[in-house]
Amino acid sequence: MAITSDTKIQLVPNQSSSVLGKETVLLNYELGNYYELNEVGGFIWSLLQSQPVMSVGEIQTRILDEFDVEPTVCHDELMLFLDNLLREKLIETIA
Amino acid sequence: MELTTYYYTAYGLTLGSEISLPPLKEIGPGPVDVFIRRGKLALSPPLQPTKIYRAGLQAQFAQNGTEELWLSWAPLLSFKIVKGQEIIIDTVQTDEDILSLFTLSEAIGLILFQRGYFLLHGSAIQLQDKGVVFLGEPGAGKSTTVAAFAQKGVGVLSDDMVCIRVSKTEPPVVLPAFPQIKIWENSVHGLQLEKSEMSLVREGVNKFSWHESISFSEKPVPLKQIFVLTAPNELAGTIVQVPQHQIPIELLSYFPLADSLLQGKPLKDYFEKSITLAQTIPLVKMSRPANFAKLHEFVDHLKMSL
Repeated sequence: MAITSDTKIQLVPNQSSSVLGKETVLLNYELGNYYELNEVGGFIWSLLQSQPVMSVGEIQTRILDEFDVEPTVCHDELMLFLDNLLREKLIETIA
Repeated sequence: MELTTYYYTAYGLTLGSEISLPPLKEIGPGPVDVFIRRGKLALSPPLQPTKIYRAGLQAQFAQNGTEELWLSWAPLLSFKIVKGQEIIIDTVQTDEDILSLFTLSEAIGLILFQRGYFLLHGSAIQLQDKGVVFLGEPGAGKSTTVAAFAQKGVGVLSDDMVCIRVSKTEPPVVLPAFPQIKIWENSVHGLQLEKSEMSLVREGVNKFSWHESISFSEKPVPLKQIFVLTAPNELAGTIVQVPQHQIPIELLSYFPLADSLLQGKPLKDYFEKSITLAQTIPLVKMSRPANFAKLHEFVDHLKMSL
């Protein structure tokens, strides 16, 4: 299903993560897949950890508050990033 | 048939054993953490090949959760490892050296895994009160490096498999394995060690065991630093710090047991322990000193600087 600004998302349960230096490392331990997120990716991940269910629009607002980035660029990049997390089964959408 | 029980310590555990394990230190009879006995093994779940080789044999492995593990070195011998408490050996072999070689490597490693320790394929020494671990591909020079330290009177913690206790509340410590270093004949010559103090091991041609005269640490030692030794190159002796976020994946490549153990919850535990290590312990890559003279220089340097 396509993600829109209203889509609500949450982290899957079978993952473990930690911040090491500026990177966030995370593991889906049921699938055995390991990832590294950069600073912005780690920021989004930490939002989803602190607030279990968020809409894409809320995430975008928080990124625009934190980083100096054009709203349209932010939107496109965020959609791409969330799409990747979804495909890797690290997040799930809530109907 | 009357069975003798031998009592030993290794990796901070007391062992009771029906078989003699000569590299281990005998202690008086008492309660044991782990019992090692002979027995006939019933059928295991289907065995799968592993990446683990020893004495020219490839280990096969099967598991029922993590509480019951099977390790087969067919046709020589098979182990069943149960709940961190029992090793059952199924074999017609009676040679103590062969039985020790296979019992005191991956089989005891599986006991330690069941007990929740963090294991690495590598060697470790105690410098002053600090534990230093050496990792590297087979042939990278881990044992030779440890032998060079032992030669200068530095305490040895383990050779081949390093056992670390990682907890969320206390600093990581290295548990002393048992007093033995296994080195190739050319290292014995290169380091100018006394061959009369060594015995041949069955593991390979021209491999020697050095045990009686080495200094061995018996108490757990706080872990201070991990080195990854690489092949000598033009940058020999230079040290590259591995970025913190790459440490967990680097450590994973030195997991000494069957990879299939690391799935689901045990994988999560292993990952979280590697994170704890990454947060507190520096990991550096160093190309192995190019010759024995340089190795001795490195030993002297680290003794002074750590």
